[in-house]
Amino acid sequence: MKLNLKSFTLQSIIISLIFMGMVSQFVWFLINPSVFDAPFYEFFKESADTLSGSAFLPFIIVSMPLISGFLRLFLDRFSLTLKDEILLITDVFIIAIIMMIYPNVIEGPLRYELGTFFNFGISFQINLISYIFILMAALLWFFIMMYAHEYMKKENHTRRFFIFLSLSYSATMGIFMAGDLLTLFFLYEMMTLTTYILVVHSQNKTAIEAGTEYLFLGILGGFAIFIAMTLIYPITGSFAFTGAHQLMMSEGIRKYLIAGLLLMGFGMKSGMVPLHVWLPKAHPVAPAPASSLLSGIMIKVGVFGLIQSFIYFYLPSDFSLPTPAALGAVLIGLSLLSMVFGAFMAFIQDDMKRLLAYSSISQVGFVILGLGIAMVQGDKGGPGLAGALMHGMNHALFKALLFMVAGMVYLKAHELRMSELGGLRKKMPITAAISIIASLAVMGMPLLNGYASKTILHHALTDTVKYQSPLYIIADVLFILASIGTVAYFLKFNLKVFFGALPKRFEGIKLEARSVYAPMLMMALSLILLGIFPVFSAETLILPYLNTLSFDHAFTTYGVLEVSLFGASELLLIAGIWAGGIIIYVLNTKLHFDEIKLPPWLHLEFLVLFPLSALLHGLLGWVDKDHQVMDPKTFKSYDVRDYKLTFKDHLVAFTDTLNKKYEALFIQSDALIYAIGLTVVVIILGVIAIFN
Amino acid sequence: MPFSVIENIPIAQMVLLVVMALMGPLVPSKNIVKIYSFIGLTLIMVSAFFLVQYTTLHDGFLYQLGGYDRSIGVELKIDGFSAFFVFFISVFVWLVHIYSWVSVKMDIPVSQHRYYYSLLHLMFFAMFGLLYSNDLFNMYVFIEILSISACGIISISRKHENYMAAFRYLMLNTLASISIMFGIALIYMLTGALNLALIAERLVVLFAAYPVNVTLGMGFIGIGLAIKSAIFPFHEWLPDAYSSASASASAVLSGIMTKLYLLTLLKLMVRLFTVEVIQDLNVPIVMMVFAGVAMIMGSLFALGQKEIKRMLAYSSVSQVGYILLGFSIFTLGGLVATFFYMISHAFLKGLLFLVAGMAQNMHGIKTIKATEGMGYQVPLTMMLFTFAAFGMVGIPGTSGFIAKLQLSLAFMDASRGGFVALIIVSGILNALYFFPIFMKSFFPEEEKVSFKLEKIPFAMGFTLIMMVGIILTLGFYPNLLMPWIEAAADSLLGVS
Repeated sequence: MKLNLKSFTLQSIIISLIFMGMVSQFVWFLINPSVFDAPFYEFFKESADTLSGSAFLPFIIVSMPLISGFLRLFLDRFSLTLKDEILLITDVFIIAIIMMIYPNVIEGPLRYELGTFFNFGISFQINLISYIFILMAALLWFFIMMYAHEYMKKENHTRRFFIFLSLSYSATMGIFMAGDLLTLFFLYEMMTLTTYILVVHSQNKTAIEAGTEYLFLGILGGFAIFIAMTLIYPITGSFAFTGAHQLMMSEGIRKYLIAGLLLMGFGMKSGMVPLHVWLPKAHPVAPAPASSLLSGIMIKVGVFGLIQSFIYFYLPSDFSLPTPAALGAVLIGLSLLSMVFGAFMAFIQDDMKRLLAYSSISQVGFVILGLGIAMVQGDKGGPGLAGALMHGMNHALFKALLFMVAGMVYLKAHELRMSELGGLRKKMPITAAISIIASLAVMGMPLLNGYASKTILHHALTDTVKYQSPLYIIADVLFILASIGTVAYFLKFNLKVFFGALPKRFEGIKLEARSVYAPMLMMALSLILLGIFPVFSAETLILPYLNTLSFDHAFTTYGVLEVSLFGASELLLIAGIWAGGIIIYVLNTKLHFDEIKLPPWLHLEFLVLFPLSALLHGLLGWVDKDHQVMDPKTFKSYDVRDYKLTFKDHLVAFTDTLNKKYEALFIQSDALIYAIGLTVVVIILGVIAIFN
Repeated sequence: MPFSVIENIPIAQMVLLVVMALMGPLVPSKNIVKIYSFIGLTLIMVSAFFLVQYTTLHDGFLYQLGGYDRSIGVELKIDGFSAFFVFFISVFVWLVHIYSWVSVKMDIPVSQHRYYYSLLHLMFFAMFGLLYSNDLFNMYVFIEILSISACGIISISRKHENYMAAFRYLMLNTLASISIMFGIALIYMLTGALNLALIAERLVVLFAAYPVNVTLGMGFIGIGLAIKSAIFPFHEWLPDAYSSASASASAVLSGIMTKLYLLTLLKLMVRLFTVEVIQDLNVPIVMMVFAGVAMIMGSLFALGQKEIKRMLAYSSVSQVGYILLGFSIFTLGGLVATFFYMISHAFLKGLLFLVAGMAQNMHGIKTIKATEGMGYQVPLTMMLFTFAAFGMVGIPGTSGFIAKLQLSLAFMDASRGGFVALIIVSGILNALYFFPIFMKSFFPEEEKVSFKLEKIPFAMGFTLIMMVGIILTLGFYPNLLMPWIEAAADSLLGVS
């Protein structure tokens, strides 16, 4: 075999080796912190101190991807491989910086205030939770970029795609480091706008529709956060993420309003039911690297925002103070809805990527459930939050990997419908193996990473039943139900795509050992390693974070580290869940109940907006009784029962008619309207004066 | 600069403007008009800068024309409020004037060019007068000059729809002028004075005895100015006028003219009727009702429009609502936020109208439907439009976001949080009608042509880039403007 130094595969292998060396060094350091005292590391230690002391650190992390995006644009003309390589190299730098500052972050949060921007000043802070999220994002970005080189070869508009991918990555990194709500909001809007371009990338009808919905819901979520911001400011006197629990508690209904708005804004981004409607449309239409990023990192933005704001604004510094436990209960309720609904919807999908998108909704439900438990449990809430963070990290890894698998299938077979696919394991065995590993991880196979986080979450849930209210047993049942559903839909995913008879049209698929397998294999390896050492990430990253909060430290440590993971009851439970999943799958092969078509009017958008549309339609008929503006035929075409018409169509029809009607009236009698206006004003003034 | 020079700046500015306006039809070549306009406007802008610098640091001053007594003479009041807005107007007009060097060739017949500049100067003169003058009679005169020169500038393109629009505008504005005249007569009948300060002194005493006169006077003046500033039920003249006027004229009309009438309304309420009387009469509630309806209805009507400029015009109707709402709380914070909002909106909407005019004149894009795929053919135009549209929706990084944030916080501060919901609803509607344009233009279903940057004439490009720069600067560093705005609000409410 000839070594071609210019090939992307070889170059990326070299970079991967550096990358793996760095990661193993970091892991070695986490296991044995004293290693850092050796004289060899003096240089790194000093530069880490300088970096974390300088105000530029967050800027460097945020602007690196940006710079790399523009460098790629510049290199586009000169080199085919280097342009994608540059994204990897810059990310290696970012990862190096992030790993280096770990000792500084663990000592205490790093804060960076940049005054005078936006009149209120913006600020960044890197505490341990930011650290967890930026580390996860940077690692995932590395894998995805290595994968993207091959995948994007066949797509159009690659320059635009990579620029906006880089932009959204840097916005995401900024969000994870935001030190106040204003900074977070600024970057949140940037992210919404840049990811919109990734969603509409293919510019076909479905992509444009999905993108439109994504953008408008994103803006709506942004406005919710905006109102929450303006409500918080008068209470705390700043936008900063500082413990404001006591000030919040002194407010009456307003604190619930703020919580609801934050839940709406961040829940929208994390795809929580019932604000998930954009997600199953937007994630599948994007190219596979973008879907991986969207499902892996971007929806964690919502989760991060929820955790961050709820911890800072609602978690008391001392549990003798009153806690808003009702909020936690609401969170638990919504997350259970997401879990069960997502699992059910995933099972009845035929499109691979849509299945994965609904699965994301379901899995994010698990993450938010952990946060809900933390809010409900009071000082015993540590394990719930730990489970949430762990599952969030794990989900980022395996869902990104599964989207890569779906991307590979699409790349080779040009088909995503599972009913048309089958037997692909013969043609793409590595992909099949990776898919099975990742799916087993989601399903909760022991010795893979999903098992530990789900078990910790489940223990936290049973603790809630024990300490709070026996009513939470319902939550427990739904938890198990959602897990059974997960097993069922991932069995379907793998068996339908990779097993069974190979359709004739796929006989010609050639297996090419290309650079895509390197990141996928590395990710699969990390799933296995994290599964074999289940509490490693919890011990080194999550537990130190939880100990900075006001939870009962001993209980948290117990709930995360000393809880039995591979005991008989846990293994029995997972066996039961598997049995349930298999039964559902087998029943389905006989009964085909996953082929049911839900009636179109059952769409959430239609159900929510139907009454409004009907109202507008009625008003339209009333305003334009004699059909002066709109002729009867056009009027009939705006039928309320036509679910294809959006609410906007009804709104436009109504307002346009109203406007034309008013205009006609005005031309006829402007003096009359003036007189009426004047009289009304004088009467209002007079009436109020009399009543006063 | 010594006070003796500062003192004479306002009158010098106004004389210069009148001279420039009168010279327009007389000089032999239209190029000479261009040159002296540029020099004159630059001089005015620089002098306005010194004036606003002075009034921010010192108290304002009165300027008696000809040294007559204030009860019969003409009095100018130069303080933070008038100096700041004069500066802002002169910057805006200076920019639009540079833009119009090229743009007039596209949408105004050659024979009318010099009249266009004359009318621009005349409008500018009237605006200065409205801001400076401190007596009711002169304000009325300037209102008339402004209305008539605006009518001329609307009809200058000499097209059928221009005449229709100008005629409508004239009819309604005459009604409004008569209404204002009635109001002034009622107030004069009661107080026997025309100087604002004198009226205010006497009105406080007389109000209790003659509430009907004051109420009626306020109603007449208020409705008259409401028609002129296109507050919702009386907005009917605005969409026609803005959409048919030439690009630079519609930018001036939407950017500053309606705002000038709103500022006049505010000035009269504070200086003539005084805030106590206003609060006693519950005028703020009336203002809030009108403002709320305007914000929502303007945006809703904009949704149904098919032409870009008409859509922008209806959007202006809703923006007038925002400004009126901001005035209605009569707190220092509220005024600061609203003034910032006005500046921000002037540049955003000015940019939108200039870009829309450019798209219409140079590339024939008139309707929203025609923007489909235009992001590939005329990317710079569409990018500028998108940028300004983001500002209107309130995306952070543009001045529109800061303006909305300040306004919302001011309402929270005045414990009228419910209006923040109104601002947001209107913002969502803004997104609903602004976003489809950039979606259609940059992400069409079918691409027929490849991406290619178009050329923009230098003078137009300069103005557009400057406006983008101002919007971005105000979006990231609003503090630059804050001392001036605070001085302006301070001098008006006098609470410092």
